[in-house]
Amino acid sequence: MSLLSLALALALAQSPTPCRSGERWVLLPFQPVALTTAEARQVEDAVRRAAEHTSGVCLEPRAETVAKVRARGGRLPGCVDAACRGAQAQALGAQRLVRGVALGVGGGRSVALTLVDREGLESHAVVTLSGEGLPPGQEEARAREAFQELRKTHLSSAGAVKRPGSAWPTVLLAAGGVALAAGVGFGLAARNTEAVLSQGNAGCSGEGETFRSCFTGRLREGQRQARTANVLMGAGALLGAGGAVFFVWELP
Amino acid sequence: MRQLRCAPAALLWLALLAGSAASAAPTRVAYALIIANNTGTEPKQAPLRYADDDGARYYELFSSRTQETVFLSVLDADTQALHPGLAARTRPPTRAALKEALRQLNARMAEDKARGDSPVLYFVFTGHGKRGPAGEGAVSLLDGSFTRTDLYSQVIAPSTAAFVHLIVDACDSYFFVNSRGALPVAPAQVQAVKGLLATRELARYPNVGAVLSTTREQESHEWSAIRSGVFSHQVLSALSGAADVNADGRVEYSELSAFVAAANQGVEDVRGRLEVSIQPPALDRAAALVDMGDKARLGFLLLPAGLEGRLWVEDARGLRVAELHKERERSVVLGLPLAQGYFLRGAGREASFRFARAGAVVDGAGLSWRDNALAARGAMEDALRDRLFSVPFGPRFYNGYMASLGQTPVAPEQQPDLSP
Repeated sequence: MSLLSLALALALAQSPTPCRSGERWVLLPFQPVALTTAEARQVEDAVRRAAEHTSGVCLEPRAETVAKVRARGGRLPGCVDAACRGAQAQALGAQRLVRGVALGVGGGRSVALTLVDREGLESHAVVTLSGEGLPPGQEEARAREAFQELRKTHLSSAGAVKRPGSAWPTVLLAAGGVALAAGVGFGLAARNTEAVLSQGNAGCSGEGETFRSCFTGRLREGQRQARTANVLMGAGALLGAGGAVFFVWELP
Repeated sequence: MRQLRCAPAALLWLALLAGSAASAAPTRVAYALIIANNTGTEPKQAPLRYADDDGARYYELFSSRTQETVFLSVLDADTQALHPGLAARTRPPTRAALKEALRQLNARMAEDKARGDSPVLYFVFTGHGKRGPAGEGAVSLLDGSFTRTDLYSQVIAPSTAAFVHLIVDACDSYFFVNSRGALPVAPAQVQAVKGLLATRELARYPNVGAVLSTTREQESHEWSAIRSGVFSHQVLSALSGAADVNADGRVEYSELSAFVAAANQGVEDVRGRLEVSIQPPALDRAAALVDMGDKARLGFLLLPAGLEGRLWVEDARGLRVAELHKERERSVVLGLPLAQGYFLRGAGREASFRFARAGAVVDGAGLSWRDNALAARGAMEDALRDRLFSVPFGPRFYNGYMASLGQTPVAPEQQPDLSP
């Protein structure tokens, strides 16, 4: 293998696997608490399988994630604010980052999941996988439930945060209103011109060429006003409809 | 080829062997005997205010984790109001009641042992203690002293427990468990007395560990803000899981020792300083005081990496049930009794939470915090409020502490699996 092909292979190996569809999610190796590393890995694998089978989620392969974590010293520092969390997600090339703590307390197993987006907004879900009062053999299903609950919580809270920030419906409706008002103004002016023209002399004095020229000018002015009014009212209606569509789109 | 055909069968056998080995491991069955007595046997011993409160808190902690918990105490009116229904489950802390409780628990533990289980006994005392003229320590029961001789002859020697954990929060409790110094007898009698004393030494009972407050000024170490003795508050916090430095779910003696050292390190006021003696069982120095993995009627609060600083948990009655100063990178789980509701508090902020059922886990990172202001009063209050738990506790403190003692630390924290 030539040096060039080796370098190319290494570069390809280090570049993240592209996502053909869906958002790029990164699931970090789970932290064990009162469990062994191997037991925490079992819990992590169950959640990973749930993520892989969720539509719209493009999960980064574990090997890539592990390589990134290793390159950062084997563990990502705990963040206390949204800026740090968002920066961590971005540094790992994730649109959404999932952290997990696998717990073996009280005679059962639980998992605490945290989902972070690029803005640092985080959501949490805790699910008991096994233990007293729970039917055995349901760990996989419960891990799936934990992941779905986490995703649902995050999407609803992220939507709630982003909604108030959107100004598009207001802008479109306001612009539509202004255009409609201007259209009505031009329409009234065209109507006035029409009334003047219907008087017979259209307010023009003189005879022959002078009168014809004045009359034609008044006629053209009226036509221009009518056209402008139509264009403005059409634009206003479109803008208003657009604003309404955005408004309905962003309703919870 | 034949070897290959045999491989699945061999693997199955290995799995079966592993399974049978696992099932052969003895089950840990815990019992607790808690004695709490506010009054002393001598007129000069002023009544304590919170020994019964400490006993009630030990009861709440252990009754959720043990097969059976016996509580000997006469609760005062305030404590009965704070713990409704508990008084009906107590017996007076007399010698006769203690003897009967020990007989009952030893019988239960003997049955467990015969069944192949591994019984564990927690013997807890909170109250007055003193050192007699001959150097022998004693604690106060309602109807008289209970001496070191009594402890060894009635509690330790006849115990059928695989492990006994002694927790004593009383003045001079070191001498209640250990002897030290010259013998107050003539030289001719020294050998005979030494032979007798040897039967009252912890070294003779390698299955016994001791957690002792050895200070002399018991009164000054009660803190009204938490309605508790400071030592018991720290031990209870540690046993709730705050001392589990490596997040393996087990609180070992060395972790408890380092946790108490960290909690008191910032206290400069000599009145607030604690002297403690923590000795693990010689048989297994890594024996766990508490194992969070055991079945228990508890809820669990996860304080993940990212949360840091001095934090404490108060229940709906306003009782502070656990406190710690957390290093940021450490994950901690606190096992708490299933109460009506709790508040997790930190500097100027608080968040409420509750457990839906036993075994439920609440993620502290997902709690909704709000601002909160707390008030305290008095110089001693200030010293305790500001200086206790002022030093962060985590692997950094623990490793330094163990290095300074020259002792073997617990295994490092389990890390996430970074294999591909």
